[in-house]
Amino acid sequence: MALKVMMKELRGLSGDVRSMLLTFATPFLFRIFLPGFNGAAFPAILIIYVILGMLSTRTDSTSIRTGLIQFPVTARDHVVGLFLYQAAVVGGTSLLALVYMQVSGPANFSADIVPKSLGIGLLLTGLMTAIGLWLRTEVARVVNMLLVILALNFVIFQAVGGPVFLPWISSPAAALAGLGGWAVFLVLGLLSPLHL
Amino acid sequence: MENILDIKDLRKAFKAFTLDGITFSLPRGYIMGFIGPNGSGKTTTLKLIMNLMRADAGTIEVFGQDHIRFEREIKQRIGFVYDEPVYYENLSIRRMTGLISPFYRQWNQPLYEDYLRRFDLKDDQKIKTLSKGMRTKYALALALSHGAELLIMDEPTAGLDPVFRRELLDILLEVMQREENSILFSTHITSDLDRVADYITFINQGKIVLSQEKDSLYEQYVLVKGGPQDLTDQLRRELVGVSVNSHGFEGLADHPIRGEGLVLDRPSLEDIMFFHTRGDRHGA
Repeated sequence: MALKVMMKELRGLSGDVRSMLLTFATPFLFRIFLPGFNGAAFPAILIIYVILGMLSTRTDSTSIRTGLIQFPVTARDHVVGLFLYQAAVVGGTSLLALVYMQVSGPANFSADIVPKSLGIGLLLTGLMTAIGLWLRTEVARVVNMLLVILALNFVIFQAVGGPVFLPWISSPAAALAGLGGWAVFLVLGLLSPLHL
Repeated sequence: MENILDIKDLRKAFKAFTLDGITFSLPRGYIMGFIGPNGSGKTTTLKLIMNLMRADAGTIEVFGQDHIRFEREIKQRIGFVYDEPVYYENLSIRRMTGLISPFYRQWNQPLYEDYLRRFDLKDDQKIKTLSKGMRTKYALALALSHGAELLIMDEPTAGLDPVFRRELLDILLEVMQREENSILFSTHITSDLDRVADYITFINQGKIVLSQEKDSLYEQYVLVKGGPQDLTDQLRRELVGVSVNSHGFEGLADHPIRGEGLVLDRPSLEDIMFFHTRGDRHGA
């Protein structure tokens, strides 16, 4: 049933074409004009921006209420489905980043940036989802915004530090650590008192 | 008689409010009006039935099954109309329904489309453009299109125009022509229930005041009116609640009353609710 919830969320996302286009197109537009976006860290920025644009709203109280009231699912189905959906979007955005890198020339970007950004993205989306489930919507929004700003600064400064992104950790280790963090937050999310 | 819903000694404490020992049953094939003033615990009770929040104590059985252990199965057979229907705002009705319908094994698309037509809802309308009434209509179309045996509705008529309110009540009566269906209908607009309800459960300040057949309520309760001199101390003690003004008094008794000069009348559900609420407040 959680997989069904994940598919429902993905279909809901693709049905909202305007928001989806805005979210995906904006970082590419920013890449032309904004410092940071036009640097070697762009694939990581793209992933974090998409998380901000599309994922955090899914843990708003209205969205949770919709998920639980309009669908014959349990809170557990909803939370697991939500986490799977977030992970799927992060995975999909990582693929998009990879394709973009290949098209525009991998040399323009830090080495290893996509797999390591995937780890960061999974960790971040897990944390933000858990925060969205645990805290009141207004508080969660502020905290998650701060987290995104911190994450954006982190990847930008790490990318300018050398040719390899986060050289102190291997790509598989970063991806696995991200997945592990996501799983921990999933467990925390399952324990959350949903605000209905 | 088989009960479709059984609630026993349900408790849920909040900082400023406690739902205290809620117990009532809804027999299969009947409409129950769940009445009470705003803030009396109606919505909380319905949320507990739908497992949208956890009770501190008590049991809820729907279709004879524990509502937590068999939540998925039970929700397949329930149509729930929430007081503030919520959806994904940026989607059209068609897309929203396209997300919801695959979750129901008994989804009936032709019936759903029929309800859309009856409710004047357009498939391509964006959810965010729907008024409160249209949202309720849409929620009702969804709830009625998956073969629900139990409809749970939280204040469905609030904010609706009188024409649609009447139409809604007719639809409920139509739904009840299938004898296995039941409806739990929460409202503070008690006139709606005069037409359709078989049972009334009245909640006030988190406690069940009464839960019984509507007709027996009308047999049990008496509306008593009289001049100022008719309201003796003894009569006042016999009344559930009383309202006094310079011209006389009006009160509610839950047993037969005799007295010279008194006018006895059949109370409405609103009278029963009003005097119970007022009586509690004044300790009468």
